[in-house]
Amino acid sequence: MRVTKRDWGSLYETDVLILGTGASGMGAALKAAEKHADVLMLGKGTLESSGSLGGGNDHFMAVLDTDEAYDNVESFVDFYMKSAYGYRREQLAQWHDAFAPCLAVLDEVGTEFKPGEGGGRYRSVGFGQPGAWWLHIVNGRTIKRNLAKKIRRLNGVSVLDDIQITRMFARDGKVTGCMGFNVLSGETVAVACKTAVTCLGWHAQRAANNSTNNPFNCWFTPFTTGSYFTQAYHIGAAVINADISGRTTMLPKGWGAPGMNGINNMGGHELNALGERFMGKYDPMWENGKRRNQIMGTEQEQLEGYGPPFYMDMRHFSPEDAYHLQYVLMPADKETYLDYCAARGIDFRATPLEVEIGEMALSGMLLADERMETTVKGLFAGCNFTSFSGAMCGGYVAMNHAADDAAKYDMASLDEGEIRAWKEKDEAPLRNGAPNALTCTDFENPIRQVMDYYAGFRRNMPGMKLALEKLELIASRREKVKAKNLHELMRLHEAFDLLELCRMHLDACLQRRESGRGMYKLADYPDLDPALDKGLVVRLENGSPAYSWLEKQAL
Amino acid sequence: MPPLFDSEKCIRCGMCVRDCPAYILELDKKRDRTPRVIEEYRLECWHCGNCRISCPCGAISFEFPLYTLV
Repeated sequence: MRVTKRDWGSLYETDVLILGTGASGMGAALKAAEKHADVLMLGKGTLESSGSLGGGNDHFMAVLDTDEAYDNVESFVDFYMKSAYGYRREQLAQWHDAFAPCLAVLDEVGTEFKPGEGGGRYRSVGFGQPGAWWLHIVNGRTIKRNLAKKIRRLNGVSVLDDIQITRMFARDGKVTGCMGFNVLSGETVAVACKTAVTCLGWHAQRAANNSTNNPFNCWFTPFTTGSYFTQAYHIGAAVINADISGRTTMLPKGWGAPGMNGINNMGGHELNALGERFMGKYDPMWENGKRRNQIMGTEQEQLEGYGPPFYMDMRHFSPEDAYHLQYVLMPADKETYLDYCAARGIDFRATPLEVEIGEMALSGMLLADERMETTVKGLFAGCNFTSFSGAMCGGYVAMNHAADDAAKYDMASLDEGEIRAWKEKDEAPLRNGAPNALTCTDFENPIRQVMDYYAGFRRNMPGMKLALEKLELIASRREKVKAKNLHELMRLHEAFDLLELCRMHLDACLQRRESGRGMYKLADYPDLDPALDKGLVVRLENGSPAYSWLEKQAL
Repeated sequence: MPPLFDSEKCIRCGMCVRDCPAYILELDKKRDRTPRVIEEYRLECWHCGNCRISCPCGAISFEFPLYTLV
């Protein structure tokens, strides 16, 4: 890695660029060190606390290749090929192959897993999967910083904290680098690279409100707002399933905390206001089936008046299991869980936990080949797999190929005139003194206002078209925004990514004329269309979105 | 929901400020560099608890706001 000072800021040159320092970026850094690659990772926050993993994690999914019928690569690949779109068998096999080395690193940095009764690690079933693939993490709140301690010492791996990435660069269909600014000093940074792994976060929050109307009170990090999709899309990457990948979960009432996988897979029962357990109507695996079914089932009960309130009931657990869930797993997933419990007087052994449907988060995947290379040459997708396991292993797998391909390319040269022009534009809100200028909240709140109203769990095509027009109106005010400091400038750039992703989501939804595959129902297309059992691909062509359908890969 | 700081336990190391992913903490120069939440951005707290994990002296606690309790 080399850095030179320029009149506009600092120019870094690195063989492989890692965009994002969350779990995926860390997986990429670990693989880079194995391959003796020269890499620079940059992202917002510090390596010790950034991303959703910074808030903790209580589960790691891993196939361990035991004698059990479900516990092998074939079973794992088959499950995801049947239940998701856009994966290739080769990609999933590589995810599987990354379980062992990633678990070895987690062990090395002191991650504690709940032990199994007969030795080994305790494992449980989740998300309608065919077997017990989920390991329970006891000290999840410190994983991020334990990994950070290791990564900061790796040879060849440099870390640049506190960077809001504003865009990527490409030339002739190949990635060349990125730029952004330091959110504390304001310095502009640009990075030229040979190849890049994008690890900017698979899950975008702040697209919708939950019942508390605080968009930062959400279940995954609120500081990831869609740049994984939007910034890659702008340089030519194709995005898959921006429509049906939107999702949510059940939340503890009033609080954006994850953890429902732990509650469901240990056997929690969801109850409606009448104290009835109802999920059997919506999923053959009840609460431990597909999360979409739990949300849509709860939504249906609510529409029919059987709630709110809704509860997760753990009173039938053994005292040991109830204790493990409340006092080990939940605080491993979020450090402040027990503060919430104390404030509300929650005791899983004695009273059901009141829950509610959370806000919709947007997601998708970048279209990638069997080597995780996107439709932009040299740009590899690090966040295409789900959960903490998928993030860490996904970065690890993508880096394997990105490091190899760095040998194929010369160091890119960036157009410094372009960087100066973008810097001028990016910083413009700091100079905007107009009396009618919009603050970051003036600009961002209407995005959620539109999404909450027109793009909830029940919607229709005319409503989504109208929503798109209203998002266009918001976009037309982009030049009128102001920021009184770097903090607000950072939030504005997050909002720009969010707005673009919401537009991408709605426009994609207009292409899919059916209900039941995503986490919403269309009144004008209420049924599932078997002919649409495929992925929707969107790519920027001549400045406009171009759509195509992706058949599921042959099983 | 944003953290509360015990100025007697706090050693002013600034680790909580450094590791807050929301960038909503600062050392208050008017109060002997005790950390504080920047009032204007307090609702951006993700209650992730990273400040407390980083604190070497147990000076940080959380009080959940009313809107999370109803």
